[in-house]
Amino acid sequence: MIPFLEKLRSLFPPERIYEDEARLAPYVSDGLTVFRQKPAAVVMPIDTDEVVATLKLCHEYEIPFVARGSGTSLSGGSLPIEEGIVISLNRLNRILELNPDDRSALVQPGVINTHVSATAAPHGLYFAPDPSSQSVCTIGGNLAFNSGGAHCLKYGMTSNHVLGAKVALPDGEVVELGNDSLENAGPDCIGLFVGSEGLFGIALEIRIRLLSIPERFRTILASYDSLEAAGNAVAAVVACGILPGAMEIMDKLAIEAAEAAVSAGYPRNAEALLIIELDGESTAVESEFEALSKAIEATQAKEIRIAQSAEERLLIWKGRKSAFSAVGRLSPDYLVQDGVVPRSKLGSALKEIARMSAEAGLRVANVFHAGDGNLHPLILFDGKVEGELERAEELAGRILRLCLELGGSITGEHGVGVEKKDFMPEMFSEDDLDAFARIRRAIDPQEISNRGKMLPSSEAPALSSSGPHPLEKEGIISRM
Amino acid sequence: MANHPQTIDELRALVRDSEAVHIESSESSSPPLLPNIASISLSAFNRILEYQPEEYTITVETGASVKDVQATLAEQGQYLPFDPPFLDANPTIGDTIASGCSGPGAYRYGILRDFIIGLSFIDGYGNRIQAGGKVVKNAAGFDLPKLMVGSGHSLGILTQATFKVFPKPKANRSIEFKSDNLDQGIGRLIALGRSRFTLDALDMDSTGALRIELSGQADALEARISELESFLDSESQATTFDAWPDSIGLKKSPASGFLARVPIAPSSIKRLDQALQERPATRRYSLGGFVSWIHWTASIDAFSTLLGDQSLSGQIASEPSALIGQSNQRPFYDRLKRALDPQNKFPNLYPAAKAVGMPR
Repeated sequence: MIPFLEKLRSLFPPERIYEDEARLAPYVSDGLTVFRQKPAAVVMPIDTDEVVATLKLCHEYEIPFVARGSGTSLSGGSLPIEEGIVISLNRLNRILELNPDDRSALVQPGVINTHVSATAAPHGLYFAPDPSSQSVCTIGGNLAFNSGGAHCLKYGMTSNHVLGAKVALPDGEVVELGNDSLENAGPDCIGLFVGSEGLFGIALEIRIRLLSIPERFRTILASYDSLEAAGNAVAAVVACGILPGAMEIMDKLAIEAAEAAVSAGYPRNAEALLIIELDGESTAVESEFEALSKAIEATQAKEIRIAQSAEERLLIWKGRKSAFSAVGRLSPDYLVQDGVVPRSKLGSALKEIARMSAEAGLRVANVFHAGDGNLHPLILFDGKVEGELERAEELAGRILRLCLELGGSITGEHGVGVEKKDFMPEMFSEDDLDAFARIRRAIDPQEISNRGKMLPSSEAPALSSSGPHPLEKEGIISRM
Repeated sequence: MANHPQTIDELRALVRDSEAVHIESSESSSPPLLPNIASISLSAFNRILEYQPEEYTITVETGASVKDVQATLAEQGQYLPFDPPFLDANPTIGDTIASGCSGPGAYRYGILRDFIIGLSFIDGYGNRIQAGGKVVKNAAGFDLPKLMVGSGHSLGILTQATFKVFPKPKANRSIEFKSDNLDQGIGRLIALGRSRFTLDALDMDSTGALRIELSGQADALEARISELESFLDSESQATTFDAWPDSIGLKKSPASGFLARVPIAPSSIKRLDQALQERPATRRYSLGGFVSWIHWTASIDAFSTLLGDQSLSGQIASEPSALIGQSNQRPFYDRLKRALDPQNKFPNLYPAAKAVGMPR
């Protein structure tokens, strides 16, 4: 380690290599604060040559590394490795090209998600993936964990919006994957790289797809007497053959918390709230809206509201996107899961979660992407109470197993990270995991790139104290 | 003689016990007759395994015909939004995934890789691997379903796939806009791509004529066409979307020559088209200008060089899905090949490596 650190110091000036306790402190955890680990050092490269040189050095000494953007991972995806280093990519934050005619942009990994849309907006374009942390999270992190958001139902996840990338493999070899088109020739290597949780190296330049800003939005808010009734309304919308941009449900606890936090004007007496948004060409949206309104009117909604202006629409979404951090105010600590169930099993999944929650004696709030069956149960607990963290962890595990039993997945958009890797053998067979491991070793024989994530059997970090992430305390990031 | 395994275990045994295997496709002329190469037909794996319309997903075996899958979906008012092409050749789902081909209708929501959410395959060790899942949203494990799109059975034999499907629009219309020349056509292609219009298909021929398909609620279509006409300041004509020469009609493989699928960006079309003008190449620019279909009737090597000079890559649309032009992904592909097929039992998509990959 010592000769490695000496060489590392020769690559970076002192202000861009952190080794002292104080400056390492912000890097010990990410958005999943129950895991903490101090790295040996943090480096902040300012160009791709420095990244590649760092990787070559890590390869030479077999030192594990973690690439990190803003550290908003909810699965511990950017948790440091003991005796390893963190490569902070925040300084690689330039949008290198914006090609309105080809509806694409070439960006460095440290570019903030919303900065892309802000830069593209004057050209009538935007970047579709919209994780709730989009005002701070980086494109590199979105790519590594295939981030989602409220509008995945129609537009897909990050991987549906990454066209290509120049990547540095863990031994420092630089390879181009994909291209600047929506199509590929040959195996979709960039499709594999996206969502590989940092196990294949570091994306240095990322070619992303931009979409035309929809001409028209229609956002409907409907309140219901039960979660089940809201779920049935989703089924009714699906049945009428319309594909909304987003369909979201919040339960009573989440509504109250969001209301207290941002005064979104949600009806307070509702047990469940359904948000449906149509987007697209005006003429088409208006025609769909008529059909959608009929479908919703036929459901047992207590109240139906339609956003009358862009401001009202944004307020509805502000409430939704702040729901998680808002619920967090109700409790000193919380865990969030993001398991997926088949849409038709939403009702039974929610009922079972409510039962498990009562059994565990822990409150669970639900905010979820109803359109694609992606749950976000939020388990409230107090880490200072002896045994509560363990009970919350156990409840979280039972919820994930429930998702698998119902034919779903352990994660819809947060990734496996360190948090859920023990559940991988329950979702995948030994042969599947063996193939994953072979692919991993073919790309990274030393297994130094983000070691300890996604794949089971790799060393697990110890659980330690909990509490909100520093950024979360300031209200900058939220969990969704 | 082709082998017709009836079970996954028989298929696994064939892979384990053969030096090399070849998967028959709906279009393969004659399988290679070299000894030790097991020619395999997946015709026994042709079932639709799970289909619940309210889930917007369907799980099928890869030997199932695309037409059968589409018919099943159509009964419930749904469809495969990536618009699988070459239907006259009656391809199987496996053929379509292996060749990586999507049709012009993919313009609206995305190509094949955007709709495949789960996959099973037999790797070079004869192991059955499952990746992805059956729910529309899933971030667990490596995204091997996407990787296998366009892989030509070179990293594994595809056996089962799950797709995300969408409700089929209630009505559609096809219209054509003539252009004065290719430049004007490209300009319009780009303008439409950046516009507020949501089109189902947007293709252009080498004269700059645009063929557009749009769909949605029937009562709005007429008004939307008028809006398109005023946007382009041009009259449209009703057309059938299929009005192409056979060789680039995407209904079946051309009788002679090669049909290649070349990913491109709209702003690069002009340069490519200029390079192809004096050559034996019929061109179709599809997917809003993000893919060119080129029917080439001279030497494949010359075509490959031409594409490489333009920094473009392409893939032959029919067997054996060979890659031509620039080969940037090669180092990454080689590593994956070592992981999944270390003994080179499956073909290699890169022609130069083929000699190394095939058994003596």
